[in-house]
Amino acid sequence: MSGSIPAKHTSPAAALIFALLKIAAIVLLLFLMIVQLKGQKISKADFDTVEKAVMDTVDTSVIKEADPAMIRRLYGLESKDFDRIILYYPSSNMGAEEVLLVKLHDTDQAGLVRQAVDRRLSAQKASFAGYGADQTAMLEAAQIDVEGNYILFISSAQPDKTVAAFKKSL
Amino acid sequence: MPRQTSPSKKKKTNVIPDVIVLIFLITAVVLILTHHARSRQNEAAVKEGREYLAQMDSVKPESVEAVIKQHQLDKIALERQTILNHMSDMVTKAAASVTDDSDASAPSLWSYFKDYALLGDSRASGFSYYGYLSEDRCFADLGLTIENIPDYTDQLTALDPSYVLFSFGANGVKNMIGGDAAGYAEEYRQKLAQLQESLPDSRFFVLSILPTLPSTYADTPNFQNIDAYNAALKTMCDANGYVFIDCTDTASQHQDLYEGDGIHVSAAFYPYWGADMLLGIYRDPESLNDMADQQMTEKSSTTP
Repeated sequence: MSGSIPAKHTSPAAALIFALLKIAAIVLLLFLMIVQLKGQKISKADFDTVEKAVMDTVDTSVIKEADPAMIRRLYGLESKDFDRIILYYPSSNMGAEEVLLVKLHDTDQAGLVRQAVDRRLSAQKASFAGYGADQTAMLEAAQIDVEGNYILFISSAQPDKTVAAFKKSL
Repeated sequence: MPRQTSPSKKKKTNVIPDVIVLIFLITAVVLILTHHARSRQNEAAVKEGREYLAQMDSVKPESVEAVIKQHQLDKIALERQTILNHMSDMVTKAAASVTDDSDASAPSLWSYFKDYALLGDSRASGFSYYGYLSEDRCFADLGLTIENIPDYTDQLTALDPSYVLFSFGANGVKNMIGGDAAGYAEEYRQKLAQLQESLPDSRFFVLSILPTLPSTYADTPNFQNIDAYNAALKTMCDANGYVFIDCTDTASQHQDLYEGDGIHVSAAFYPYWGADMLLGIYRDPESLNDMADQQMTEKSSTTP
């Protein structure tokens, strides 16, 4: 009597499937790690430099800089809670161009800023709905970009251009 | 031989005490006379005060209130005259402040807006958007029409303003609310009458519909009929006790202050528009009476 345990049999197809699943899991894990690390990327770029890069792509003739009271009124954000924050809002009550640039103290603040931007965007869309077609189109194309400790919200004629400049400056 | 004293030296010694005494006497007389005069003045004042109090004792409280009310009215009339005399300067100052980003609001013109509320559309929303008037008292937004007036009943009731300004029209004319000018005025009347039930003590001011520039006529032909709408609104106001404030001339004089869409006006226009509103308020006798009542109420509530 030999007493050996018979070898476990795995079909080639099953082995292939398992191998593919392992590869997929590794790839997925790597992807998630990259996304997570990218989201938490801390930029050491100077805020004024980032601001200049952003504002160079925007038509400043139709917007004006907001003071902390206006930032609080339009976004419900307290300027002193952030490392730096700047808002340019429409010079005219019929305008939809807007730039919000925030440097966070902590990346955990990103959620708060995103919610504020969403509320502001919703309010603007509601104001212009069925009233200002051009403004509505601009608001629909508006973008918010979170890059670690920097957040940009842009509503303008060429938001892609501004976002590209923003990313490049970080 | 006894020593002889010089006569002149002896005389000198006797005069000085006399002079001093004389000075004291004169001073005493002057003081007495002065005191007497003051006493007589005080007695006269006290007598007058007693007579006044005696008179007041016999006067009914309602008459006293009327006297105080008249005093307030006189004060407001003086305020009105100040506004009329200095309106040009105030508007110039307000208009100049528009270009100063550090202080685009709160010139003296706006300080005369007291105990008010403003309802309106996108054009009216500029009053609060540009910081001229408080957003707590401005209920104006894009796309609003006279049909939205009832939506603000609760907020207005809570505010209980002495006067309410209504600035609608662009959207109503564009969408032909009421069908035509007469129909629009009738709809407006109904909405105001409904609101007045909740605000029986508030005075209503209807602002004329600002004209639009000719460039808008192609898209909205009915904008050419704004004059007819305003005429109908004036007739409606006159018949129902509302005050119509016509800003057409002001808009015509400042066409360069319209936005590119030919409908909305720039921040620089609002001081001129606000001046029209203020003049309309201060030229209305009933409003002045309400202001006097309001000030009397405020005074009595703060008096310990």
